[in-house]
Amino acid sequence: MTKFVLQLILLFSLMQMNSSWAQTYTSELQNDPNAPYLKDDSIIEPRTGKQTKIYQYGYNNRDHSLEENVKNIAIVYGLTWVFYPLIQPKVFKVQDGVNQYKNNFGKLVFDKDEPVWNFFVHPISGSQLFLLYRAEGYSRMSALGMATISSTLFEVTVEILTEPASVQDLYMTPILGTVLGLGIETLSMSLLNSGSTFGKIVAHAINPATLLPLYEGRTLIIPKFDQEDKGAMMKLEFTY
Amino acid sequence: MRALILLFIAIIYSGNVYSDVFSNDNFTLRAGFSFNLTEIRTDKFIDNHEIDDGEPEDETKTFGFGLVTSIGYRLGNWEFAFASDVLFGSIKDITFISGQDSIRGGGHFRLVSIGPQIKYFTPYSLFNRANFYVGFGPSWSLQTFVFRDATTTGTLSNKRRISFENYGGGLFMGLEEILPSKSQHPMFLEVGYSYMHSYRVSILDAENTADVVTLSQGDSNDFSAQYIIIRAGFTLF
Repeated sequence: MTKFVLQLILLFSLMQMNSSWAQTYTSELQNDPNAPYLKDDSIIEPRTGKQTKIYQYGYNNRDHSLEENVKNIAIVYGLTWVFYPLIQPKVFKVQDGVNQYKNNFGKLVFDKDEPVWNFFVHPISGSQLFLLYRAEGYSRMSALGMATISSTLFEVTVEILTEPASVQDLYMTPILGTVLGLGIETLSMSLLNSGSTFGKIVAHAINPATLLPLYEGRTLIIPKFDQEDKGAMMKLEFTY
Repeated sequence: MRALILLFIAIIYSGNVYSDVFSNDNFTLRAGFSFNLTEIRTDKFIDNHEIDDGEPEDETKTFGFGLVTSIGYRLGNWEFAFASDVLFGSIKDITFISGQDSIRGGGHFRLVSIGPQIKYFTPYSLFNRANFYVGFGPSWSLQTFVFRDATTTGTLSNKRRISFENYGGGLFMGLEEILPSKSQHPMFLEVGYSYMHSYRVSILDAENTADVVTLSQGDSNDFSAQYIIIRAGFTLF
């Protein structure tokens, strides 16, 4: 009982402190013509005219149904069939392609590619797969799992148009890709939330999934300065 | 290969049974750096540095560094993982002989080793701060030698590389920081020993780095390598 009373007193004190702080802040905002004010989804700074969007970027993890998982994997898989021939025109130069595809199917080798491919290009594509799934609300481990499935499907059914599946690619693309993706995730979120325009450009460039409509991690936080109804509204968008 | 495909089908299916199998906290991704002392032994190599008694040596030792990654599933005190070592190191003046051809010079090597591992976390700890663990596992690896400023005879040229595909295995023991949650990124430090023996050798033409061509490939049974490695890193998630 004593503990409960103490908790009530603490709660009441905090409410009073919060209320008095908000009153002071609101009156300062109302009285100072140079104070920033809210217009649409931006904070306007009267002195400089600078508009700051009040989005917060992050990742909102959620569960996904089997249908969603299959749909997402199918979309990514379909895209690999479109993009691989575009970035590897030698696909069109392969002689007796059907037989080569048959020969390569089910074969697993150590490729002899240069390190730039195995430790840079493939991990970069793996990192973007990881970030794509992260953008769609997958947890880090789920995104790693989905990236593994997508890159494996690509490796064993698409890339064999030109070469057999490679052990390094099967492992390095999702694993090193996720390690790299995690670094990109941390850096890009920090830049996106920094408020710097240049930072945002860099962040979107290294993490382009944040620009796609499927990105679920953008939260709009709208401060409300009204004395009667002060607080903040939050808006999140999910894709289903 | 078929087993891999079946594994992934099983993973997708398990996603149906359990709403989100990958979000299980028992999965762990680790990454870090490594430092190694590698010894390479083959009849096809001569280490010109180690000839001090007039006899050519067929082994060479070198230091290297690398990256280490692993994805594991923890079940009680046991962990089942897939792990990889990527090592880079320099080679000093050695001669590689292939039939009538030879290439002599320095350069570097790189090793990619991948394999499953079983790890056991013992009940012992260091001042309650770090848990002792031991582990082992087979490995499948590719070791490539890249020559620089080499002198060649026969058909081997400066742009030629030699790759050995190997089977092997390794043992390791280490310490992992004890923290309440893996989200606090516990660090690990381990010492390991790995051995590998070749089953295939390839001579490659790296003139066009975008499209490395295999000039010749054959069975190989005379190449082996072993390395002592120190790995340090942390759990990412």
